[in-house]
Amino acid sequence: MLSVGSISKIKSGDCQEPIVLQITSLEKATNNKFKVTLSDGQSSNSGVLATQLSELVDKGDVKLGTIARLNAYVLNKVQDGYFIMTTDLEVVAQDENFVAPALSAAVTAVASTPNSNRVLKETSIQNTPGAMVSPGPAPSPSEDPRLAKSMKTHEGGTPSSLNAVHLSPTPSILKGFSPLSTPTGHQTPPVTPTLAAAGTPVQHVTQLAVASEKKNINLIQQLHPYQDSWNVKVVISRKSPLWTNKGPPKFVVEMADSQGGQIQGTFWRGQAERYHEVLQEGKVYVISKFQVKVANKAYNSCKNEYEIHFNDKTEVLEAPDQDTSGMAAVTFDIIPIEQLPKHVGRKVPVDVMGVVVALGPLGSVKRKSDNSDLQRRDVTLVDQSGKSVSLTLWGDLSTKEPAATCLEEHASRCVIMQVTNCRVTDYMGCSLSSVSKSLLTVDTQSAGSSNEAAEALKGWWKSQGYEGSAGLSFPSVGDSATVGGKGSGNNTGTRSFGYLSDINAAANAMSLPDPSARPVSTELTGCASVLKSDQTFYYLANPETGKKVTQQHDGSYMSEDGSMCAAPQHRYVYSFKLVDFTGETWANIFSAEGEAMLGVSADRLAEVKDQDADAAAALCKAAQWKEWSVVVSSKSREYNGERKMRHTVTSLKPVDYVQQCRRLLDTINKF
Amino acid sequence: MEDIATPSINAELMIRYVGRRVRVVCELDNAGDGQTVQGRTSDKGVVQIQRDPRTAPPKTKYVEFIGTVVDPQTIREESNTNWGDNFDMAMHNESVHLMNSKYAWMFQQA
Repeated sequence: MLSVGSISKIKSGDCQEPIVLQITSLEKATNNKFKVTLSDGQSSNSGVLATQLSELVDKGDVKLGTIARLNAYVLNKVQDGYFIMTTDLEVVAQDENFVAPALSAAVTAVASTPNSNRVLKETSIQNTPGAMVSPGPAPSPSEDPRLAKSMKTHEGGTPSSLNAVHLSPTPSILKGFSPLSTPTGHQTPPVTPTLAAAGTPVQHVTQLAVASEKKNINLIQQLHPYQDSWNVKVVISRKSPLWTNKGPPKFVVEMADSQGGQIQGTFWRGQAERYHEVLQEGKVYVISKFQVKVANKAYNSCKNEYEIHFNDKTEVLEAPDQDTSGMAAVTFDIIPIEQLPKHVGRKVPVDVMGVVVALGPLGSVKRKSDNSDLQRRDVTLVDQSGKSVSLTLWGDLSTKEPAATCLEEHASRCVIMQVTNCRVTDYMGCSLSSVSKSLLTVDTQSAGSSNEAAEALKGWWKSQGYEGSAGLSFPSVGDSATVGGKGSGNNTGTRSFGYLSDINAAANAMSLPDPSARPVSTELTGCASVLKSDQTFYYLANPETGKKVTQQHDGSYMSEDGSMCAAPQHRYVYSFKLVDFTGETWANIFSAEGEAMLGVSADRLAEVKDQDADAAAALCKAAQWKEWSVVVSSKSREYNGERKMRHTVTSLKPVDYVQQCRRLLDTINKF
Repeated sequence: MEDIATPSINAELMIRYVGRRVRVVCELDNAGDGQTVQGRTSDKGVVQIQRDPRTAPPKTKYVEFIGTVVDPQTIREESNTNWGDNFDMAMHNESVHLMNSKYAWMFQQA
């Protein structure tokens, strides 16, 4: 009865003849239209019944299983496929025994909306190494045999193994779909209804299928970007709200596994809508098939070099054992207060633990944006490093426990406060500020290594730190960050006076700052101790833009962006060894500064070099050992996984003795 | 000079070094004027310099004189150096102060 093969025919453009199709799914959409899946016995496609036909459905003439002749129809192409829009159909026959492919009653009708991200998962995982993935929009079917079979084999709808039918375009996935075709049918368990379409008309599922035990679980520690068939068993430590403001919806979760590894994952678009309600903080899930990428530190402050991006292939299942005791997401990385200045300005939040020596009053600040009040309170912490830091608690952290207890007790006894995930700012030199992620614990309520640290801190305090209220003097770490040898910043603000020993210390530090961190500018007085004359001093540049140009066949010069110039200019780029009385380092120098150092323009040097190598060498030698007031910008770069500090001269001026003298005198006075 | 330290001083320190060789930076109003030159010191005091005719006359506005303190107001010149027309006397005074108080030990020789 069905016009077998007609669907493929109309897809190729032939929409003239009436065709007879069966309605294998039926769903009411907005504005009183009905969305259907139409099958010709061989293939299926999504379709829509025109509004005038809706009454047929309402009357009951057209229902699930109805075989109808479509007299008038058109094929509309949408982003991922087609749908058949029919304006005139007549019922040919009814299939009373028709059973929708999806079995469990709780499963929502599989709406064949072209855009729906249908995820019908098969929960018996043993069958397929990576279980089922939902394809994006999949109106073009090759589910036929399945559908056909399902209609035959599942009369009466035995729940058996099949929880849902996976409608997927690719045969390869089909083969994963065994329950239908394999004799062994299914395997284990479960159960519950699967996820239905997300994307458009909200059919969020309230329950996820539960994973079977036998998956091969990977640890967060093992994840890397070069594979995507991972399975992790994680607890959701935090779930962000669903962001819909700037573009497609998305949300982010922070996950932790049984080894304490942490990682952040992002759900995008359809996945976001689908999973946002479903996933709950504190519950354990088994998540499979996602992409691992290098973490973008601008949007990710989780302590992992990678981050996860969930996609259409991702599967999320509830873990059968919800035991989260081993999954403490927090591995504290406590930083001594005196080292905090190093972290100023970087986006990575820090953990600090210290004894509370002062607690400010509860104050409130008006938000500029909406004039609402924001509570704040300052706490001063000290630790074994002998320095104190001011921590600002915002919002709830300032009002609720445990801050409240601290207030009463810190005067009378040693109260240890630990804050995780707080930001280091350069307010007053160096201070801490709580963020939404911050966790405040008082008196070591947390387990793990931090307990020992807390004990050590208590011990130190009792023996050395505490001297009665009078004798206490802990210099603020903020002071040393701004003053003390570094002089006051110059007009540019971020620059501070220093010495090469400081620059080198930062460069040789165990962990170089993140390449994404802002470059640090340091002003110092130094000389060039080595200026090799046999290096490449310059490049050819477009005099207007400064961009590198290469010579073309016709003698003209063109830069990368296509702009031409007839007469290129030489521009300096060379390196030299910068030295002051504390140390030395290699630095790079460009254009104007390069010219100041050498005393000749790059064009002139090029000329001299061509003619007389000795003269060029002499020029370089003459440039050595001249004292300059230099501003060096230091930034770390990553090459092949290795981080190196690169120093660039951003300013080169003759020494202003008066200014330097002033600085020196100030330093001496503060000594 | 030889192994005797020649501290840098100003007017108020003169009294401490009577009979000693010192150095003083002076701001001269009229340079190279005959036998005695009057100069303003970094602490805004005034000293008289008994010039040595054998040395070149001072040319610039600021001159450092090295000589022996005769009395709290006078120095007998041994040599002079032109220090140019641009000099921050106030800062110099700070240095002089430091060199003669807290850090005097650095500038003395055994």
